[in-house]
Amino acid sequence: MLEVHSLSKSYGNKTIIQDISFTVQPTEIVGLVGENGAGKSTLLSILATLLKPTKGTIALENLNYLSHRKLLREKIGFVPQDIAIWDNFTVEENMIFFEKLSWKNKNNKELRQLCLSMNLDKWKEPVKNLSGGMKRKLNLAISLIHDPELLLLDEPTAGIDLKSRKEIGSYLKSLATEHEKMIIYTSHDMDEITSICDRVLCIGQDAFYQNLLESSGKPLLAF
Amino acid sequence: MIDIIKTRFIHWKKQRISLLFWLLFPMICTIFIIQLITAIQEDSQIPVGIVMEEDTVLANHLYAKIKNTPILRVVNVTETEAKQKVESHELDSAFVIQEDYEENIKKGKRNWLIKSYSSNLSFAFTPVKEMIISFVQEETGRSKTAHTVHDLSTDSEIKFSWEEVTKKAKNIQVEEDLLLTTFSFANTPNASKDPNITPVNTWGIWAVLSLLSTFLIFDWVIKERKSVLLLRYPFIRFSIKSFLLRNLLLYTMLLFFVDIITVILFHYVLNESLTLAGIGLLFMYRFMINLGAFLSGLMFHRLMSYYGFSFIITMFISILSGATVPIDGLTNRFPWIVIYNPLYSFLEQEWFNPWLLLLLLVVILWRIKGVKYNA
Amino acid sequence: MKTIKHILLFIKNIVVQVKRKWISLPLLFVFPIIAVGLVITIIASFFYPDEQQPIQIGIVDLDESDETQLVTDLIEESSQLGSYIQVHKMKEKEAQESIGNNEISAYIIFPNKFTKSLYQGHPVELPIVGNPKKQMDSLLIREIIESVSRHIRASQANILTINYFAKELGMNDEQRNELVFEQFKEFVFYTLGSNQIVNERDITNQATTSPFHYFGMGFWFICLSIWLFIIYNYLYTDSHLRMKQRVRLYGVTELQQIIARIIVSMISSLLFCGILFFSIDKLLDFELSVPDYSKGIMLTVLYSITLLGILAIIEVVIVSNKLRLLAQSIVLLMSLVVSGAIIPVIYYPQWLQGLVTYSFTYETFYWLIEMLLNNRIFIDFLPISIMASIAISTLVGISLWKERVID
Ligand SMILES: Nc1ncnc2c1ncn2[C@@H]1O[C@H](COP(=O)(O)OP(=O)(O)O)[C@@H](O)[C@H]1O
Ligand SMILES: [Mg+2]
Repeated sequence: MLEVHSLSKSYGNKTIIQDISFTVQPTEIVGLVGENGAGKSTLLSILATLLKPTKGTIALENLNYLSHRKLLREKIGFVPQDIAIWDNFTVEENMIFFEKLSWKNKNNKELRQLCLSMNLDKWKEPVKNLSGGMKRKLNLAISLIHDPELLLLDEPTAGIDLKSRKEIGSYLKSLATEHEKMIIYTSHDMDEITSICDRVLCIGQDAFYQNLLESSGKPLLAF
Repeated sequence: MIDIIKTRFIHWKKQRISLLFWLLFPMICTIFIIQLITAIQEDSQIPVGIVMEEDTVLANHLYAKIKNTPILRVVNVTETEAKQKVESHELDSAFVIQEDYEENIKKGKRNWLIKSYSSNLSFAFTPVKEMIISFVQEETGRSKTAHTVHDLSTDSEIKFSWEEVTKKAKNIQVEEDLLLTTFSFANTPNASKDPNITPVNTWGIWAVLSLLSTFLIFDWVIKERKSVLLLRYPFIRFSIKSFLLRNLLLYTMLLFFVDIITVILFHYVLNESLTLAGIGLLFMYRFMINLGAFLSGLMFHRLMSYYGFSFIITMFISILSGATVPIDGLTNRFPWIVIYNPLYSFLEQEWFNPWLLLLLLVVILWRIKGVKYNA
Repeated sequence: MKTIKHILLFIKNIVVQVKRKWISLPLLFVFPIIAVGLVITIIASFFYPDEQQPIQIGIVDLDESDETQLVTDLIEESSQLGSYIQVHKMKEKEAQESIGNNEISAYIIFPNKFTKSLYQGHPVELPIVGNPKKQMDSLLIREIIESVSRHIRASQANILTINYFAKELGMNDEQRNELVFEQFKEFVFYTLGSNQIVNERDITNQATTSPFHYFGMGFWFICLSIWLFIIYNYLYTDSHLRMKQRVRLYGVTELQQIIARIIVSMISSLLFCGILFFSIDKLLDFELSVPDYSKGIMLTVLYSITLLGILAIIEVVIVSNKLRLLAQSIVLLMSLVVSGAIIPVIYYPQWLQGLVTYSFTYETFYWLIEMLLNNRIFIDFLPISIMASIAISTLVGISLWKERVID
């Protein structure tokens, strides 16, 4: 379980996130929406231990973020907004490269299976020849190598075709339900958010998104 | 560590041609440069003009001797041409074998047998002049001997002709060519009659080239700190610093392995000595430039700036270290240059290497705290 | 028309870029001056040994006969070997220490029984031990010792000849030994006086034909070349493939960007060079007239175009940044070596001298020296103009061809 308690973040005297509290349970997918610059990426980075909050406490499975950074990172999978893979490698080489550096050991078959389960079948293909959707999938797969409990995705479906988007969506869904993961992800696609997420977190004082969400009938996270 | 090696191998497989090129570049290029310089040096000649004012046996003899000197290229000129060509620096200098050369020698005179033209651009004038003097002196000395013998025999009935005496003297000199000069450098084992004093230094050239190639190979420090990839490092088993340091170690092993091959190759191809102490110093040098390249890599974010920096630093070190051009003239005037020369320990076989210690200290400081990696 | 507009646009763009990085500009200016200054000092100090600090040589006399003592004393006292060399008598141990302390450049050993062997006609070895830290000096010393030993050899033969004829003339042993020692001394002094053989005439009717002027121009010329190289590469921006494709959509070619960089590098290098030349001229005074200036500028511009053209061709052909820089540096270095700006070309082997005349750096430097040092009025611009046009047309050809192939 992820518990966030009265979290705030500010840069200088510019406050980006103000006093948010929420919890996420295993099997749950939480969507994160808000206009550009609202602080979605900032929040994800904080949850990924990459940034320190200005105020508030966070705990994952009762491990406090302040005292257990190293240990927590093993339980977190972070999918960065920009595609962070080796362009000159093949899919296989990318997977093996990051597997060697990861906490968990996986053999080639398992790695391949991981890719196949989200329909990434171009195993021997150099990454630079892949489509945007494929790259996104690989970007996600790499973050999953060490079987994290909490998965944080920053716009994992930005700028890709509908088919890949659906495939990623349904994969996340199965990950949450079958493997009891906690997933938080950001997106600008309302349809996607409403169809996949169990709950939605809206940051920034933005009436537009709140109205949209209310009309969709999804439960809004209380601040 | 095995895992780090495996990941590194994936990288190396991708850049094998480029990597191989830069690994072999210092070794092959050094051999090539040494051969080229040796060839050029062997064929290098000083252009000297000779004016013949008389056509006698002795004059022709002197001319032939000068012509047979390998370091001189003799150009036949008239005196007017000689002056003009020395002035326009087409000739280093010119020598006139004056009229009555033979007659004067036979008379036992030697003053002003030769006239020389030189300018202040005649870099080789002094040694060439000394050489020609020694040729002429041979003749005049023999003539003097003939005159001495003549004086000795004034009271005797037996007389020896000028030709007879000089011929005898010449024979003795040829038969009993007894004086040898040998040259060796202090602290080197064997002296030889024709030692290879080249102003170039094999290991010096290699040191500079491998400095360059090491810096260029170490662009991985920048490539692997690209900002997008930085986000991956928190979620791997190693901290970024330990990841980079382990790779540094791996690169050091790879490069040192190539260095060992280089030592062996140079031993067989260029007759460089092969000693354990030499290999120890080589390792220290290798470690030092790797640390230097590593730390430089950490300071840069743009590859192009780093490459530019690599070339510039190589250029400066190659000049100031005396590795490529001898800097006796400079160090005699400014002895402190030696202290700042990072190649000193390696090239002068000195076990104390302050640069290595300094760089090591900086890396250790960086490891335990210091410089933020993405600063 | 459109091309020129694009080039102008790029030039403006470069200027804006450079303004952002203005801090590095003084560095670009100063760095080559320091580096080249160092090299030129080193080379000049080789050709012009410092008279304030003559080369120090040790003489070790292990024989200690009357003859060697006479010779070593004489050598130590006389300045026969010129003011560049100073000779000191010392013990072998001292000599070894002095080399270790880098105090002498070499020492010569007169071995045990040196004189006796010479008289008796046994072979003798005269070992010279050089200081490995002063290799250049050793080179010079070896040349001189070679001449000295030729003197000794000749004198020895002469003494033996006199000895032989004295015997023929029936002189008794005692008389003969005395004679030989007398003759030995005779020949030592005779040898020391050998510099009377040559009547030396100095040709320096022109004030500007000094090594300082020559190396001053060399210095300037190398600085120009390095500036061109550095500034041209400094302006290089590593644009991404995607960016390149986008730019091409606007009808802009890589060639236009390169030409813009060539123009900017040339103008800034010429500016730097102007400043540098002005300073050198203040120091050395080349006595130039107005037409000289215009010819000089013309020559410099043609040269810059050729060099930049070649650098640009390499850039178009070689994709890898590292390799490109390496290739460009090698080409630059080689061209400078053959130009004669570092070492005058006449000292190179003949086959190399033949090749060198085809080099654009040689061509330029030759005419610069002819004009500045030898007061030549006529300058043949044809070869360098041809080389410049070849460089530029090859550049245009290759980059247009490449652009077509990529499409
Ligand atoms: N290091 C920083 N210093 C100051 N402001 C920052 C920093 N990083 C991000 N910001 C600001 O924080 C706000 C939130 O950014 P971000 O989390 O990327 O928004 P989102 O992902 O929702 O578009 C932006 O206004 C941005 O300008
Ligand atoms: Mg964002």
